[in-house]
Amino acid sequence: MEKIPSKRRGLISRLSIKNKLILLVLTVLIPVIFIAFSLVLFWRINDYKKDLVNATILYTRLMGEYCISPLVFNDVKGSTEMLQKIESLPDVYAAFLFDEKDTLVASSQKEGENISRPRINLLKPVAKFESNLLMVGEPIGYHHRHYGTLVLVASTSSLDARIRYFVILLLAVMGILVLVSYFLTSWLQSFISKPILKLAEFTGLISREGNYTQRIPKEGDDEIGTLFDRFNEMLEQIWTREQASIEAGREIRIAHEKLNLMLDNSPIGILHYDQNGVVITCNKGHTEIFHFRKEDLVGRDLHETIHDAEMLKALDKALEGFPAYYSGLYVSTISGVGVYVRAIYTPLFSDNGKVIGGVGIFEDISEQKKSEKLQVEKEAAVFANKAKSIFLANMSHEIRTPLNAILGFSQLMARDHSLSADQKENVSIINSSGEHLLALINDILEMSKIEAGRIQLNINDFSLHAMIDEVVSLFRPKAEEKNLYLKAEMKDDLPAFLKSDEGKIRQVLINLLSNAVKFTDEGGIRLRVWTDKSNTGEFLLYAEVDDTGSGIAEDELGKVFMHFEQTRSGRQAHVGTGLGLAICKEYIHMMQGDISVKSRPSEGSVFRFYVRASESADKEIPNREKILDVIGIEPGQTRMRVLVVDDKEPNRKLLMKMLCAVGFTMQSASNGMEAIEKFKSFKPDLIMMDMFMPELDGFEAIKAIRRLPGGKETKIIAVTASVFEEDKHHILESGADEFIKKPFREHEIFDKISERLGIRFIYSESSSADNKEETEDHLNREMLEFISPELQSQIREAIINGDIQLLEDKILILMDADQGVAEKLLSMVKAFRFDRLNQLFQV
Amino acid sequence: MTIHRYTLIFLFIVCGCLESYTQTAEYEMKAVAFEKISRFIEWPPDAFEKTNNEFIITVLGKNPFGKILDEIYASHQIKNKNVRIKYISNIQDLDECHLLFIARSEKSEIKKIVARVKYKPILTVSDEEGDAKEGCFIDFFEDDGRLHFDINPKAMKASHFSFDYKLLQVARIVN
Repeated sequence: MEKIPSKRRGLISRLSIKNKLILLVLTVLIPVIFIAFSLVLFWRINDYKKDLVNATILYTRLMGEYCISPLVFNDVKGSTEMLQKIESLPDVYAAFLFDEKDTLVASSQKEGENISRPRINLLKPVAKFESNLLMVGEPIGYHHRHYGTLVLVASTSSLDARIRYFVILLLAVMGILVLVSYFLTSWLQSFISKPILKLAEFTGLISREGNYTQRIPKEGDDEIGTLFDRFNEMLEQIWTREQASIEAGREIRIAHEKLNLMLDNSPIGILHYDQNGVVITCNKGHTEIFHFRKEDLVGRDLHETIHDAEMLKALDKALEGFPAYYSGLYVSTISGVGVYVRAIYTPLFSDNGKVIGGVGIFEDISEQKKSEKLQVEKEAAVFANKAKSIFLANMSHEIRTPLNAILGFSQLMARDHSLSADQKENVSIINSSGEHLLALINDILEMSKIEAGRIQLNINDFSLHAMIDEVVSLFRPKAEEKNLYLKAEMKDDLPAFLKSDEGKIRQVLINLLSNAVKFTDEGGIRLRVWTDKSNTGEFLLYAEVDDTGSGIAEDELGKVFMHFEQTRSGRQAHVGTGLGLAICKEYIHMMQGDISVKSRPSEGSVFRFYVRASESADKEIPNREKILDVIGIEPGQTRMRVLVVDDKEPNRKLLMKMLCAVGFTMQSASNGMEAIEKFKSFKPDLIMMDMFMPELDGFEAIKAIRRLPGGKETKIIAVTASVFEEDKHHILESGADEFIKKPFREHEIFDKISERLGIRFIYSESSSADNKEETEDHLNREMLEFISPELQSQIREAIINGDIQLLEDKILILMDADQGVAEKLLSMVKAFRFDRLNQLFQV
Repeated sequence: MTIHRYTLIFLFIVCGCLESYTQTAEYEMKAVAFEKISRFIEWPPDAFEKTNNEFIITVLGKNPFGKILDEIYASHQIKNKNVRIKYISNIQDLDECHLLFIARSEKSEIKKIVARVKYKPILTVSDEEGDAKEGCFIDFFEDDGRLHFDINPKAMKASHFSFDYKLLQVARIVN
């Protein structure tokens, strides 16, 4: 605290407040009293003088009266006697009587006085002070006649005495007043100075003790009271600030400790050096990376310890003020240990921008180097897996394409009413074999999916009776062929409708029945179905397939449900993949059930399984739409020309045959170029365009055709094996009117044609029982809104890339959020329903 | 001391004057005294109605003034009135009059005269000391060489005269 030198301040400022206040009051009071008393004195003197003058005039007049007759009768003696009466007048010293001619008639003086004859105007009354004398002259008149003048001379000595007395009195009063004021002020000033002294004392106390929680008690509501309030507020603020700074200090200390703790426990080496590169400190991590002690490094110039040229370069760059980077093998000259490090030198600047040192951060990347190699291998593995997934997806597509032709043609042939019964049966066998092949492929795919855990339950409502009837009817022809009985026994209390995975139950039944039919040569097969209705709602659905076939050897019983394990009889039969029962077992386990087998060789087998099911809430299951076969164009319509474009002959021929049979005029082309030429010559009403072809693909061909004369009128239906929605967009953008996916079903083709060309067909009831609709997934886009946009876009990308592995990984993430949706999506992936997935995840 | 000395000289001179005055001009003094005394005396209100506003002095007996009275009052007034002087030798001759001077010659007749003017608005002035006791209003006498007079206020009041107390200051009062 700066002390102001006291000699610079005046005497007054050195006084205490008490004395200042007293001084103040007295400084004001004394002049005021002085002025007031001076005025009083002045008036008093005037009054005294007036009194004296008046008294003397009165004396003069009175005495003058008595002088009239002596004057009239020239009675000098009487006059003198008269004048001698002044003896009795206290102040009058002398009297002079003049006649009307201003002649002195008589005079009288008090003993010891020697006053000369006054020289004053005798005709007028006069009163004047001359030195210490008052002279009063009064003319003497009677009845308007002037008889003379009487002059009295009075002494002012009594007046002076009175004035003197009065002055003394005033001075005494003034003294008393000053004294009284002094004491009163001394007493009263304490009201002002005491709180200030108290404040001063209090302030001193606080500054000595540093205790800011104290509060000075307020006295009174005046300015000093306010000062106390402000002072207390100030103390409050100081205290708050101090608390805050203590708190801040504590936090900084804690933060510092935390930081130190973090720094010391960090595997990252941290080095602090000054502007010359001399190490100030380093953390534990640093010493651990390079295997030396802290004391070995601190205080040393880094230029001495670093011998590596690149590292030195990085350090010098940082010392010049630029962040520098080093990565590589570094051998410490202190410990001799070589470590793969990544070092970052960051310069530190002072406020004026000068480099004041820097921080070096060292990371031991030896482990990382190792893991980088692993990472590369892992990436290769992932890539391989992805490639496998894509291969599988592609394979399924590639295998299905020729199957499409086989199934398509056999169906086409089955519709030929000119065929004989034998031919029809042959065609039917081709068809069923194709279906079987498809089933086998599906089996293999299914099993691989099961192995990968990608099969999900598809719970739906279905009619149990209808399903069983259908399944049984599938095997009836074969059973009859082998002269076997096929009996289905269903308990009366079976619920009409079930809620379970119809597809899987059907698959299990089909697999069991097909095995039974396959391995039974005599006797027959019995299917029994019942429920264990222990409680309402949920129950166990039991099914038992009992055959009189070859049976299974005891040592093989344990193997029947294993993958790729076939019984001896199975192997002898050379039919099936050996996967059927394994798939059944997996399915049944998924439905929280189990399957068991009882068998003895030559005595037949009993396969019994149960699954968990529940009664359906819906009592009505809509009947599947009856699909009608097109057998021709309704008469009376224009014969339409159709151009089929496909590079694959089976596909081309399938469509040609299919459409030709109902009465279209057909032509075909095997690529885009050919299609354009054919368009020019043939002028078709409709083009069925494959999109992916060599030379000129469908996209270009459509665009080119659209540009040709009449090209816009022609309807174009794109036919593609692509499962992706993206392609649909491209296709429609290129100018196609319609879009059909391969493998297509007949009715799809005819529906689209009818729609586009406005043609009416003649229908007959379908002979084909194969209209197995894929299970509706009950999903819509709203149900997927809970998925974050990033995840959605990742899923979308995976769908477009056909990356099943990635897609499943992504969908598994959703398991926690919504198991139902995730399972449905997974089942779609397993069913390669990329079209549906794409639809759901479309932007 | 100077003043004192001058005063003494002054007094001496004044006294000397008075001395010579008594010897040479006793009646001149008395003639003047009429007027001076009149200044302090008020006559009854109707005193001057019959005299045409003249102030009449009547000298009874042997005239001691000679021509002095006439000479003085030829140029002076009494009570702002012209003065006429009458001389009579017998009281019987008295008629309208405001001031009656009774000469020493009438000393024996004083009682008669007083009775004659009793209750009349006539100021009686006697030249003989002691007449005031006899009922005369005023009488002159000499003392210490100076002219003095007695005054009989009772008689004056009886005749409805009023007078200033100042007169009493210089006179000798007689009852």
